[in-house]
Amino acid sequence: MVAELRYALHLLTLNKLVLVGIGIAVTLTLVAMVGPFFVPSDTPIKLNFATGEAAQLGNPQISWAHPLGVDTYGRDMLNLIILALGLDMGAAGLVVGIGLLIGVLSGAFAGYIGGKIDELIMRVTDIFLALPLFIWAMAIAAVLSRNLNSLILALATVSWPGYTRIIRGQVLIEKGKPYVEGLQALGVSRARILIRHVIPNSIFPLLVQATLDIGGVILTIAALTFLGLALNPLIPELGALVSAGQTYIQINPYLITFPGLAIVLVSLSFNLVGDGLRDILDPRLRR
Amino acid sequence: MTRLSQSSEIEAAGAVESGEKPVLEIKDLRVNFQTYAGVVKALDGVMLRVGKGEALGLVGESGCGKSVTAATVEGLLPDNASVVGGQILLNGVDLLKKTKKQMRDVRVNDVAIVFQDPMTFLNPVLTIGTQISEVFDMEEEVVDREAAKILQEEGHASTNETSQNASVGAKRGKPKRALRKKALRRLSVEAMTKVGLTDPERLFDEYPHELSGGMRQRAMIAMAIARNPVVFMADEITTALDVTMQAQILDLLRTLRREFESSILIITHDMGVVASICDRVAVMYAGSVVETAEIHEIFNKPLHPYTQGLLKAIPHVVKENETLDSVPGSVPDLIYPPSGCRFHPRCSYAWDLCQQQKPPHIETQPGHWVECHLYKEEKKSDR
Amino acid sequence: MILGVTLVVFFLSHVISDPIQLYLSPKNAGNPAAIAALRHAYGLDQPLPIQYVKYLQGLFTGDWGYSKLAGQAVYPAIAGRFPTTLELAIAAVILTIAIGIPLGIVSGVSNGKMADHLSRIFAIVGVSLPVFWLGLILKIVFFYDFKVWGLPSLPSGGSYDVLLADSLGWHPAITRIPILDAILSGNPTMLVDTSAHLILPAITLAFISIGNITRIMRSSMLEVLRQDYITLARSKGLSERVVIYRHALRNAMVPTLTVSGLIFAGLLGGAPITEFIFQWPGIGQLSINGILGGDLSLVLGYVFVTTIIIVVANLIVDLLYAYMDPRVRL
Repeated sequence: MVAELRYALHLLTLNKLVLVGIGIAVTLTLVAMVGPFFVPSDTPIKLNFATGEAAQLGNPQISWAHPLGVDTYGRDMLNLIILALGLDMGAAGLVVGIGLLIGVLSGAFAGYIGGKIDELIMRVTDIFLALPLFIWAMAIAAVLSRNLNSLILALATVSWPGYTRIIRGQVLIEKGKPYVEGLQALGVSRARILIRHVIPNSIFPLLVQATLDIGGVILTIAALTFLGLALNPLIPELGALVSAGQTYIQINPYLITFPGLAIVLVSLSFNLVGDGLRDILDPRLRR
Repeated sequence: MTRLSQSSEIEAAGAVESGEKPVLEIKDLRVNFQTYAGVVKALDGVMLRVGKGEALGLVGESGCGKSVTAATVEGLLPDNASVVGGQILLNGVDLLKKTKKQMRDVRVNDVAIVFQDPMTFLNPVLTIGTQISEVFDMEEEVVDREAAKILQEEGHASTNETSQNASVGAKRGKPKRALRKKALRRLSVEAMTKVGLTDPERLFDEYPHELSGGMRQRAMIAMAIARNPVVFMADEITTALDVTMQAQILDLLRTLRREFESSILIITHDMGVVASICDRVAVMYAGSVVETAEIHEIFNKPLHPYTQGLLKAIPHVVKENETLDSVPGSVPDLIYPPSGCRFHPRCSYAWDLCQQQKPPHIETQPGHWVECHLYKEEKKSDR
Repeated sequence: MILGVTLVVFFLSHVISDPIQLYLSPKNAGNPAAIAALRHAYGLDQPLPIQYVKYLQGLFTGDWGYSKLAGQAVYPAIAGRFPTTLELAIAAVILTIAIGIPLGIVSGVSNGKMADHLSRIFAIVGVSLPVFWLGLILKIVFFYDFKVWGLPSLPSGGSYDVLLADSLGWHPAITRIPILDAILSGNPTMLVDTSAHLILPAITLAFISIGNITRIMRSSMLEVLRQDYITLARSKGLSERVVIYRHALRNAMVPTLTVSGLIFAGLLGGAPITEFIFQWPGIGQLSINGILGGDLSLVLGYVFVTTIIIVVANLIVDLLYAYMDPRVRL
């Protein structure tokens, strides 16, 4: 047991990238959560068209007051990014959270009960899996109202099938293990076995996938907002920021570079962490 | 190498007396493994001698280092292993000093190893034929000779031309490749027949999962003998088989030994296998060879306490109401092994010296080596 | 399965929003009588199950409704643009495989060493980049900056230079795939032009897919190299090259190729964002215009197409799998 832990830790330190990833992810999360308190609360609304126009005309307006420059409406870029981080990361978290909830419940249920119900749930899962994530989200957003909430909903509805599959597989494996039979023989109710024992043991691969997914969902959200599916230029949003700066890239590339970099950082850090977790959990036989 | 010998196996066993040069000699081999739980001192001074044409059994419990020894000889240790001392002399040449490339040649020509579980050791996406052929493919001359034979048979050329074109490498283009393929196929089929595979022509094109366990094992053996190796190592090859198949495979090994005169190292934990085919036996425990002797000696007069315990643990078929003795205690932790003689915690004869010093490898009688403080050298042992 | 998809799409289109939108062409939009007539004609005043059946019928016969944006029926609109998307998809896939697979092999074989670390970093970064941003950055550098620096710049949009084509009297008419048509009609100027237009969007798409493929190739390589039969192959004295190429690769390729197939299928969906950024006239761009313009029938038609493609691709991939792994044969 001690050997395993030591091994896991060693793996972690070996892969310096993962540490970097964890570092960045933690930093960003902190920034997203705490940052907004340091940002003047009127930032998203305080439009300064003078500086905004200057930015549009090619003057990035980078200075100590505006370390990352200024956006097309004259608002401070750094503040915007901090706020946007919170929004986007929060949205991604929600998507993954809801997806996990639905996925775990349905998958565990399907795997544990088996039989017809299992088949039915898997059929539905397959159908949803076949739907191209992005397109589907677009479609739903097009049909429903165009704001962040419907986006989150749309994405959540397509993200759960992945988790269902994973956890169902794990549950099936666990089901075969002797301790389950033992518990059943003792008369413990199936629901209790499921919730108290089977699910906790099946969680690991899910965690890996969820972490990776946060990275991916952030990208999707950014892409969707970039396309303008969550209209309202006053709400700071990473994708929207890039979109706004699009027309001026020839003269002022900074308008898109900084928000873009922010997106990359978030996604990268979560991907690194997820990758690292996966490495650790991988059934390594020797080194 | 293919001279058929009329002598029985016992006669061939007479090969190793002290003084006679062994084909394979392992001297004081030490191997460590780097793991996350610590350094595993797997081999702690292994001493082994295999004579020409003899069958040496290497026995011991799981984890005593038998497979590691074989892997070291073959040069197939994993990355986290390191040889920290000793020599492996194949006909006098130290294998440990060879480069990677040189070792590859050794593997092709001199030392072959057959493994335990043919299912995982055969590549599932390649046909049996491909996997056997590639062994022959390493030897240009052999293939060329076969190709020449084919040409001769098909009457494509007069005898003179044939011998001149014996090097197929001289030809170019498509006919050369097809010829080569044919030659390889014939060689493989021949090898398959030798190991007792029926209908080799058909099997050639089949995949490993389409064969039975016994057939797969034979195929692996075919791959090994194809190169007429000087030393043939069999690592628990009968363990995965049922008794009838086991008997067949052992029969096969006996036949091959007679035909090829290779020395065989049989690694097993089954004393029954040892009894049926080996000339001599080496008993391993926790990284060292604790006793080596001719098979009759071992069974009738085991010297080392561990060997004695091992033999006592074998149930007799005829005796009734026998209590099964077992050696008390369990296999030691090789990361923190016992000091001195690694067997001392489980040995009923142990005293202080055993804890302090590892016993030397001595020859108590001609051909009988022991590592135990109970015995003094009666003859001057040679290294 | 496909039925299930149609069910979901149907649900969306007919139950959530007023389906008449699907069938209204601009001229009828303001006319209540016409709307009522259309409703009747399309059976929208009938109970839902019947509507569903009709919908299915329509799907099969190619009647996918009318797109007010495209000014034509949905099916020909999508079909017309498909070849262009095909060109982009093929180009991207070729790039992905050509770079991704060797990179993955190298990474797997040299596990833990510098080459491996570099490949992994490259792959992970690739996967973390937002498509649109990458496209924009590439545009900035290769289109704008190159111009400024006086280097020959790559075009920023479209699949070929329409003005140039007109002046040459050229038109992608044969297969509708621009680059292929340029080759087939033996027009070297247009060939250069179509290729130039193809480069940037293809690279943008490929960059991210390469990241994926490399990771999968690497992990399956690692998995395979751990296997016992690799040890046996080495024990035969085979050179490391042979061990890798003949023994390891055959096994490791299987999951990789199946994933490539799926990636290709995904790309066939048009990679809408990339098409949008580079104004690539494919079905992806069409769908985005549809969404932004609120053209529901177009969007739904698109969803249907892409889903079908993916389902079919899955089937093909399964067959491919059986072909490559002799253990899976029927």
